[in-house]
Amino acid sequence: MKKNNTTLPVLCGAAILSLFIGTLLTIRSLGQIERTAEIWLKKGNDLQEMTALRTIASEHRKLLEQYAQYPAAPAPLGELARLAVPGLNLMTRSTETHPSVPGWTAHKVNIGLIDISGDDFGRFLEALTTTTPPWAILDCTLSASPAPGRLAKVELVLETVGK
Amino acid sequence: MTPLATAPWAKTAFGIDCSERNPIIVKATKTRRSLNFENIDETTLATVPASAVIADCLLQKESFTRWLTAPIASAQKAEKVFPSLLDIQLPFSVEDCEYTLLQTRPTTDRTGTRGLVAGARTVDIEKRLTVLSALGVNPHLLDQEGLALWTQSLEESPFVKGGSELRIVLYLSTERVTLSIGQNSEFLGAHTMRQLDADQIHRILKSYFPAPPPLTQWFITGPQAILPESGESPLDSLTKRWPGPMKMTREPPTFLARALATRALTPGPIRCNLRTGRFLHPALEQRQAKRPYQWAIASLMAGLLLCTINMAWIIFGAYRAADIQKKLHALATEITGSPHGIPAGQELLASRRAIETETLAMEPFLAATDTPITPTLKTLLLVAHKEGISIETLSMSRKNRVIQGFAPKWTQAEAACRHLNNQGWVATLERKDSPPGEERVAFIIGLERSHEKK
Repeated sequence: MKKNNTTLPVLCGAAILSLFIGTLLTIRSLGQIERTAEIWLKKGNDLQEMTALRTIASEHRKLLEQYAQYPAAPAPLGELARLAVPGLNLMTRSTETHPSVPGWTAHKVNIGLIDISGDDFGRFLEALTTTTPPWAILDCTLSASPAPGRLAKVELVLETVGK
Repeated sequence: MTPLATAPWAKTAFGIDCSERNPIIVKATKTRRSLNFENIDETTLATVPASAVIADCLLQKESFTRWLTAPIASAQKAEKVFPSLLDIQLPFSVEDCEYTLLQTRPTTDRTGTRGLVAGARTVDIEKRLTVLSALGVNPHLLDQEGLALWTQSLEESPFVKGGSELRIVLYLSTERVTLSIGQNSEFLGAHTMRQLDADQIHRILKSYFPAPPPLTQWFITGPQAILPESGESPLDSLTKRWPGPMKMTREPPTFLARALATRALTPGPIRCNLRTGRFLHPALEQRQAKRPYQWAIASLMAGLLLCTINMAWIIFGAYRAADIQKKLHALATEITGSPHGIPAGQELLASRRAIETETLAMEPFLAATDTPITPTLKTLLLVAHKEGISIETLSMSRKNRVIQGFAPKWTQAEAACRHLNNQGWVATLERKDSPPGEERVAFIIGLERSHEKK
């Protein structure tokens, strides 16, 4: 086997160089493997959390789309009460509005229902939840009337949104 | 560089024993687990394939084996002084020899190193090659007779612990008798004589063992091998003085040729090739010359493989990191609704803030669907109606959820509690003292969401 005199030194040099670089790269990789694993784990967790956040954002959008189908203005409480329970004594204590998501306004109303029976209260609750947009009860305080006939006094904080 | 003493790459080897008028030739073929032997005639040698190896040996009278002892514990250093020690022991100059160190081991007191050397004078090697050339044979390997006899005896009858301590292989041919001696599995030395001389053999054995060991194992082999029948043969005389079983080896005429072929094909202890230096076979020289190139290429390949694996790992890591980052950015863009302005690494933070702000603004929307107050109130009114419970006070807000009332019996209060639990509340029922004159049971129910429970 006749080979050029320079072939073996060149081959040996290349082998030594490749082994040296390979060893350096291996040391580098081994040194970084723990940190890389940590970063991947953290990024994976971030990705999971962001996927969950996207689900929330998506639910918000669906809710807005649903509300967009409803009448722009919420149903007036007085009219709602009259329709549900004729002769209901509804007293509006306070009303406030504040901006919600762009294009929408939140309406918060504090009302009092005097001498309402359990059945009437149930009907009024039904009317609140079935109207569109629905009224949400944030706070409810009920105290039975000392008078006979199972009547009660109810204080409600209600909230809804409109355009 | 260590000279090649075997040819493990070869599949076939021809072992030649030229001691008789007609050479004894054995063809050994390597199979997966063993060697197959076939006795062939001289004419077949003319058609030996290039890939096969031919092994012959220098007879004991043409070569030597010596155990040398250097007073140096380091084997590497001892190897450097062995040539000088050999020079002292030989009756001719070591420069006129081809020799090879076969084995080193520490001395029993571990202060020195023993080395087994085999060699032959160059003139004897030349003569042997000339003889073989006349027969049309150009052997790749020139082994040593005594060593070959010893290892083949161990190959065919392995050393057994607790058996005979001394083993003697006696090779008998028409023109010589060769003696290979070993203790346990270690080769001690080899000797040769023109004819079987029991007294001479006794003297040789006495030089190794002043007193005969309890048991000596005799292996008789060679073309003239024959076990003693009468009680007056030289072999009988030997077994009387060195008692022990005397056995004939398998196919004694081809024993040496088998040994040479086996040693050529299989690696093992004390393998020997005295065809070295200027006598080296061209095929082995070529193979030996290739070895540095093969090593360099193998190292280069290993280095390149290391580099490739690491580069692949680095690229994969970078690709994966970029891929995750891309997904994070896409999600952040979708969540925040702002395609620009989210710095890398801030995606999660920006998304959290966006969702927090959005959730705050969405509270009036969420209240209508999420608040549990309305359905609870409805349930409570229904249960109260059904169980005959009267509610005295009720407070339902985000922080405070308490119901106070009267039930006709305690079981009805418990039933109300169960209904509330079924709605996902954790209701705590507590009995209160009823006011004087009140026959119904006074109770108080506290409500908590299951995730709020401490």
